[in-house]
Amino acid sequence: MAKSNKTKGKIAFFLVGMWLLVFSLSFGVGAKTLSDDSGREVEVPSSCERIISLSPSNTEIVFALSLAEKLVGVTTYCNYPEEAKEKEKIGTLNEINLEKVVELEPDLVLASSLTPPDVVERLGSLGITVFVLDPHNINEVMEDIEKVGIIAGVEARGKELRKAMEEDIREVREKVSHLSPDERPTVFHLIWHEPLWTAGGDTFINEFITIAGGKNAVADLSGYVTLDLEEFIRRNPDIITVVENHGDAENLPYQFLLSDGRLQVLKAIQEHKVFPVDADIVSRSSARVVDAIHIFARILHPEIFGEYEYEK
Amino acid sequence: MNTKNKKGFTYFGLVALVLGSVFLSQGVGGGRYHLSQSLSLFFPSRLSPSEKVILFDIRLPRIILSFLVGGSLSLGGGALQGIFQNPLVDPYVLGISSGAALGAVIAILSGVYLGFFTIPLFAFSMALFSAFLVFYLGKIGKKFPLEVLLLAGIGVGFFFSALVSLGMFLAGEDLHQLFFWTMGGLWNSSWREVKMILPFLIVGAPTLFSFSRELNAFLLGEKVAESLGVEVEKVKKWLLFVVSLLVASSVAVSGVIGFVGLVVPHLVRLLGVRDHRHLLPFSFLLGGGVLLWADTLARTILNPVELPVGIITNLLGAPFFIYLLRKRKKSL
Repeated sequence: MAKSNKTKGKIAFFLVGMWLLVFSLSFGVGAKTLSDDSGREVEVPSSCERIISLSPSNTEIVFALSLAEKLVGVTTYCNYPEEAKEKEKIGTLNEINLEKVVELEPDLVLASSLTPPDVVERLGSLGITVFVLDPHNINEVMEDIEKVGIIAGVEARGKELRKAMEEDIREVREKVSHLSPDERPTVFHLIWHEPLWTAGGDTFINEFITIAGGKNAVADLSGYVTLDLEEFIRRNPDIITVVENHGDAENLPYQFLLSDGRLQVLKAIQEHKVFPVDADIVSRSSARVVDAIHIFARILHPEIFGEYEYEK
Repeated sequence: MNTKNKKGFTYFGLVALVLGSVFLSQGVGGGRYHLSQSLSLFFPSRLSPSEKVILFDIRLPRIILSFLVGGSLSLGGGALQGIFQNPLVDPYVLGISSGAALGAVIAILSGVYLGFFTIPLFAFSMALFSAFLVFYLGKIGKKFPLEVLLLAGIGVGFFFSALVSLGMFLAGEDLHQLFFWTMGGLWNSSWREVKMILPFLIVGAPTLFSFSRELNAFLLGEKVAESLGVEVEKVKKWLLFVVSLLVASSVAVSGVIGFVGLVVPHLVRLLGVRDHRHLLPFSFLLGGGVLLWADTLARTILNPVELPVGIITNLLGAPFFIYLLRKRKKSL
C-alpha cells in the first residue's frame, strides 16, 4: 500500500514537472502554438505580412478576414472574390510550384486537404509556417476561420467573423424550427449524372439542407457517392438541386434531368422543382458556407426566405 | 453423343443460360432479388408508372445493353485472337480504347454539346480514327504484317493514353467526369444506347461469322492459309475493319470495360471449342452473359451505391487470366 502510494506520488510529481516544462516552453519562451487540421502543432509567427493560399476556400477565408493586401500567392482555381484572380499564381490545388512559393517569401502558407503532405513537410523544413485547413463540417469551418485570425495576427477579426456567421446560421435555424417533419422537403443534390453523383449524410451539403429546413434524400449514405439510377427514381425527392460550374457552356447534369424521358416520373421534375446552384458556393469550406445555407433556405422555403434566383 | 449433337447441346445450353440470366437479373434491384420483378417481364401491366420506368426503361435496357456490349467485345476479341494467332490479344489492341477515351476527353474538355450522344459520338469517332491510324502505320507496301500492326497498335495506344493523361491533368474541376468515363460503366443505359450499337452488331456479327473458315485457316499460320486459297490480306483488312466498328460502338456507350473480350474466348476454348464457326458465336453468347452478371454485381454489391462495372471485370478477369496462363503453361 505504502509503496504504491509512493509510486503514485512519483507519477504525480513527474506529471506536474512535465506540465511546467510544457507551460514554460509555450508561454515562457513567448511562442504560441496552434494545432492545425492535420494534427500538426504550428508556431504562431511573430509577424504575418505575406500569406500564400493553396486552395480557393482558403483564399476566400483570407479575403473574408480583410487580409487581401497581405495575400501574395494563390492557386489557379482561386476565382472568388474577383480580386483573387489578379494575385500571383503558385500552381493548382495539388500541383504546387515549390520554387514559386519560396520565392514569394511567405510568413504563412495556408494549405488544404488536397495539398500533398510532402509539400507541407518540405515547406515546413524550409522554416515556413504552414497551416493546414481541412474542416469537415460548418462548425470546423468557423473554428478554422478563428484560427487563421489568430495565426495571421488578426484574432479579433476572426472572432468577430465567427460570431457573425454563428448568428446568421442561428437565425436561419430559428426561422425553420417550427416546421414539422412533413413540412421539410427531401432534397437530392446532383453533382454529376454519368453516373449519378450525389452528397450523402456526412457532407457539407447535408448540413446545408438540414439547417435550411429539409432532409437529404440520401442522408443514409456516407460521403460523396455514385447512385444507382433506379434508386433515384425510388427515392423520388421533392426537390433536386444541380451544381453548375462557372464557364461551362451547358450544365450537362441539368440537361440530363430535364431531357431524359425516364425521369419525368419524378415528383420534382413534374413540379419544376429543379434548381441550379453555384458549384463554388456550395462546395467550398469558406466563410461563404453561410451563403450556401441561404441558397438552400430560399430553394426549400421561399415562403419564409423569399424566392430563389440563380445568378449566372 | 456425336460432336454435332454436342455442339447443338452447347448452343442450347448457352442460349438457355442467357435467357435465364436475363430473367434472374431483371429481378435484382435495390440490393436484393424479387421474383415478382422477374415475372413482370411476362405480366407488365400491373405496375405503377415509376415501377414501369425502373423495370422497363432502366433495368431491362441496361441488362440488354450489358449483354450486347459483352457479346461484342468477346466476339471482337475472339476474332482478333484468330487473326493475330495470338492468345494475348484483346479487342483494344488496335488502340480503340485509348482512342475512345481521348474522344471522351475532347468532348468533355471542349464543352461541345450536340445532345445526349455527344460523348459517345466523339468516343466512337476517335476510336475509329485510332484504328485507321494503326492500319495506316501498320501497312507495309500492300501488306499488313501482323507484328507491325500489333506494335503500331501499342504505339498509337500509348500516345493517345498520354494525351488522355494530359487532358486529365488539365481538366481541373472536370476531372471526375473523365475519371468516371474511363472506369467503364453502364450506369444510365437506356434503349437509346441499345439502338446505337444494335446496327453495328446486326451487320458486324454475321460478317464475322461468315469469315469463320478463313479464321480456321489462319490457325495454321498465314502462309498455310494462303496456300489453302485464302486471300490473307483482304480477309485481314475486312476482319479488322468490322471488329473495329463493333468494338468502337461498344466502347462509345460503355467506356473501357477490360478483360471480357480477352478472357471469354479462352473460356470457350477451355470448353474444347477451337473451330471458329462455333468459337465466335459461343464467345458472343458467353461474353454477353458474363458482362450481364458483372453489371448486375456492379449495381448490387454496394447497393444503392453504383460501382463501375469495369472495376468488377478487371478484378475478376485478371486473376482468371493468370490462372489460364498457368494452366496453359503446363500443356505447352
